[in-house]
Parts: sequence; structure tokens; C-alpha cells
Amino acid sequence: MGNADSSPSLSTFPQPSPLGAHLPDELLLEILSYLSPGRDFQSTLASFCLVCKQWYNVGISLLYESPYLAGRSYDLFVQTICPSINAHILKSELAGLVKELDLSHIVHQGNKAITARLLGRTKQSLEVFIAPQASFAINCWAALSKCSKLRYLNLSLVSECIAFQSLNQTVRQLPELTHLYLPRSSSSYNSLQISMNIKWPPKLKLLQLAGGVHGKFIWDLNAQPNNFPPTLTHLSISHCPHLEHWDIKSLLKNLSRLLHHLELRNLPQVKQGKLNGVLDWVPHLQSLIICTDYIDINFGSMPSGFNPSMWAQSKPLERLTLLTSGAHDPNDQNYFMPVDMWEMLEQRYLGRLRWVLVAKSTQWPDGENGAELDALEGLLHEVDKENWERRRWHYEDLQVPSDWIYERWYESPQGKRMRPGVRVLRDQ
Amino acid sequence: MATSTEAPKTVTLTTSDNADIQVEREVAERSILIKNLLEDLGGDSNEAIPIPNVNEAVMKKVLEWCEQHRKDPPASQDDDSDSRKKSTDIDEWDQKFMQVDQEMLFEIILAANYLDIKALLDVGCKTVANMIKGKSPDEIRKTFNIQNDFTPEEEDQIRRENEWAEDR
Repeated sequence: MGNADSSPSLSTFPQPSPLGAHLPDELLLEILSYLSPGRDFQSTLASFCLVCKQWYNVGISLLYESPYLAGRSYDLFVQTICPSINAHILKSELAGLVKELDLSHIVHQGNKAITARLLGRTKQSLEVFIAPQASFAINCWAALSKCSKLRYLNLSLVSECIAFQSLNQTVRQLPELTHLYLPRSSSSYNSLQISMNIKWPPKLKLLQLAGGVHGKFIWDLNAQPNNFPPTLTHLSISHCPHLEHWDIKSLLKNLSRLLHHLELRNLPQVKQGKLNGVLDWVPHLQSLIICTDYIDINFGSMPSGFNPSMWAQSKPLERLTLLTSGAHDPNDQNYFMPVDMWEMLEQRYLGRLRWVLVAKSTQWPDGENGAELDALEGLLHEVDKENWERRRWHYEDLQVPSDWIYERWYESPQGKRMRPGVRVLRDQ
Repeated sequence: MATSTEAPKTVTLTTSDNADIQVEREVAERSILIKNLLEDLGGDSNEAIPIPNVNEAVMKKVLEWCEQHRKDPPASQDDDSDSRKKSTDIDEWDQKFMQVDQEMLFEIILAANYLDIKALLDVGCKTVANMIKGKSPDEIRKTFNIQNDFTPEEEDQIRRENEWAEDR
């Protein structure tokens, strides 16, 4: 990349600027690294590429790697990447430089045929694709299935009803895919068909289930738990209007050995307390995002008599994020409160917990609860100190000078990064 | 060499145009290249150090920067290189220092790269990056005295292809 000699016609020109010094490619790249990403960067880079041949060769792959596309720039970009006829050699080369296509800002421009053509042109190089809301449909599957380098596929914005069968047929062929986000709108699943063989990409790490994931679909998923790849560690289930708690429970139990990170939100069919057992169903969970709507004071199912001497049996949970999705009632006597969490921490049932993030809408930060939340943060620090001093878990292999006390560690750069805490999510 | 007194240790640098420059060792050692050379030569060598890629005028300019920054903490190797790049701020003295003609600016960058003076290379690259921001190709060529080696047809085609990236 960026070799000035790669442009064949350059050799006929004299060396540039015989008057002054000229900078080698590596230093031009260094200079570009000081320009911050964004739209300004893009227009500066476009000017940079027009300065001379050397600068073009250095800048052009950066310009096309991850284009910011919105409004009219999208139409112009399409003209460059997919000229209707007379495919010019240089033009096809530009398409091969595109690694990321984020079409989330494309609302009124383009159409399904154009999206399919863009995918077809960039299939050799594309690693990240975020589908547009309105212009993505069945005619994109053929091109998408040939994007063999694709790592990240986000269909969450797609509003058109997608047949799950063809989606699954397509993605299962993508050898490098690690992140898959299904559409939020209802995807159709032909329930009259005999059970379908659902297979996932072999390297899948994160799966976001959304939309029409219910009934026969989830039943088929649960009937074939071994079709999930062993690489799957992150699962998100959100925006599923008809999904029932028993289906979630059986899916989580099927994936209990694999999952370390779980997100459960916007599931209106799930009632208070129904997901209390999630830490038991998924015993290796390190981070959990959940709406308080689905849990109550019995969340976590701490066995009675659990006490700090049993710290070794502590749940591995390190990060807990509590959100709401509208059906929670902070005045309910069973509402999960800071004090309930405090108890699990105090008894070291959640002895590895370090970060608690709560939405303002939980009303945890308000009034008396606010004082309890402060107490919870204090306890998080106390438990962290204990874990540090006894070199438990994440502190087991810690290398610090032998005369360091916790307070010295706490102020060190690494200590600051690992410092526990409570954070309130104001806009949630 | 009688160096038992407080007189600071000095070294001699021989530039590409055969000028000898005497400079305090601490100042010269802002350059990792020179620092390593001195270490390889062993403690108290009197030999002049040849710097074949940098001429006298540029070397003097670079040493002026090294003198000003002689007490700066050594550049950290770890993860803060990204945060350093996020800011295009340059401190006042460095800004004044970098007010030179474009040829000297490029020479300083080349010398900082060759002599391995990371902080000076940063300042130089930031200065050039700030000078490029928001300029048209023609303004950039004028600023840096660069010859346009595209044919009008090539230039026109590239401009059309990349029109999507122009800010509007």
C-alpha cells in the first residue's frame, strides 16, 4: 500500500518538487494519523489525494476504507463504486478498498437494487456491513453470501419483513462472521414447514435475537442446541414482542456452558420476577444487562445461609446493568432495590461484582434509594479491597511492588482502570 | 578529558556538510539514535559522531528544540499514543519554533524521524496536519511547494470519483 511506484505512469514524471524536501510515504501516513476521523477527515483526505500522485497512493485506501455516507454523498458514492455500464478499471479498484459500509444514515436515498449492487461490488473486501432501514431485502442475500471476509453484520434497522430461512441460509456460509444482529421488525418464520435445520456461522461470537423470535422459531432453536458454535459467548435478546419467559429460560439453559455476556431488554411478554433465576441458568455470566421489569427481590436466588466464608462459591458476575422497559413499578413491595443487591454483595454471593450501572428510570438514584445506592458503592469498594488484599480472582496474578497497600494501588493507572463503581445512566 | 568538575559533558556531532557542532550530552540524548550510538561507543569517548543525513542548518534547529525540551520526561512507550494523537494542540513555544518555511519544516520532520526524536516528530506532523485541514488541493500544493503531476484528465476523473467525500 502507498508505494509511489505502483502507479505506472508516474515513472514518466520527474521527481516531485525538485526545490524542496519531500516526505516519504511512511511520514505522510504518520501525518494523516493526526487528522481525527469524521466528515472533516473525509473531505481533507479527498483534497490530500488530489495533491499529487504520491499523496494519492498514500491516501486513497484510507479514503475508501470506511466511508461516512449520508444524504447526497451516498448517491455520489454509488456512482463511483457501481457505474452503470463501462466499468472503468480504476473504479473497480476503488470498490475493492471498501472494508466497512455503514448505511444506517441512509433513509430516503437508494433502493434495494442499489444496496445489492454495492454489496456485489465490495464483496471481496467488505468486513463490516450495517444495513439501511428501508432498502434492504431478499435480493441482497446472493451478494451478501459472497462477502467471505464479513465479520460484522448488523440488520437491526431493517424494516422489511425478512424470511428467516433465507437469512439463515446466507449467514451460515460466512466463515469469518463473528457479530450478527437480527432485524427488530418481525421476521417471518414459516411455522407450517417441518422443523428447519438452523445453523449458525462457525465463528459466531455475538448474536442479537430480535423481532419475530417466538413460537416455532424459538422451539426449533431449542430443539437443536448443538447447532450453536462453541465460540458463542455474547447473546442479546431484545425487542421481541411475543417472546415468553419459558422460551428464554430454555434457550439460556441450552447455552449455559457458552455464554459469558447476556442482554435481556424490551421483552413485553416477560412479567416481574420471571427471570430471577438467570444467574443459575447461565452460571458463567460475567456481564448482564437486564430490565428490572423481569426480576424482583428474589433476583439471583441466593441460597439462605450463604455467608462471606463461602466466598469461593461467589457468582462470576462482574458487571450488572439495570434498565427498565416501562412495565416496572418502583412502589411494588417486591421491586428489586439497592438494598437487595447490597445483601448479595455483603454475603459475597456476588463477591466478584465490580461495576453497577443503573438507569435513572429505575428510581434507584432517587430519595432514600439514593442513599442506599451510595452505600452499595461503598460496599463495592470494600469488597474490592478485600479481593485485592487476598489476591482473589482477577487480582490473583497481580504484579505490584511488595510494599504497596491497596490505597497506593487504587491511585495507580492500572488501579484506576480496574476501580469498581456505580454509575447512573441519566438518559435511560 | 578532564570532566571531574561540574562542567557538563559535551559531545561533537559532524553533520552531512562536515560541520562540527558541540553540544551538551544531555541535550543530544533527546535523540534516541545519538543516545544509542553514545552507549555503543562506551562512556567517555571523544570521537565526533557523524550524522550523515542532516545538514548543519537543520541540525542546529533540531538542537534548539532539544535544548528547550531537555528536561521533558522521556516519551512513554505504552498506550497513550492514541490520546496524544487525538489532540492537535501544540504548545506555544513549539508553535513559534515551527514557524519556518515549508522546506525547513519537512527537513525537521525528516531529521526527527531519522534521529528518532518522537516528540519532535509529533509536533512536526501535527503542524503539517493542521496546515492541510480545510485546504483545497491547490492551496496544499502552494503551501508545501509540491508539483502537480496529474494530467488534467486524471485530476478531473479523481475529483469526480471522490466527490462524495467533499464536505457540503
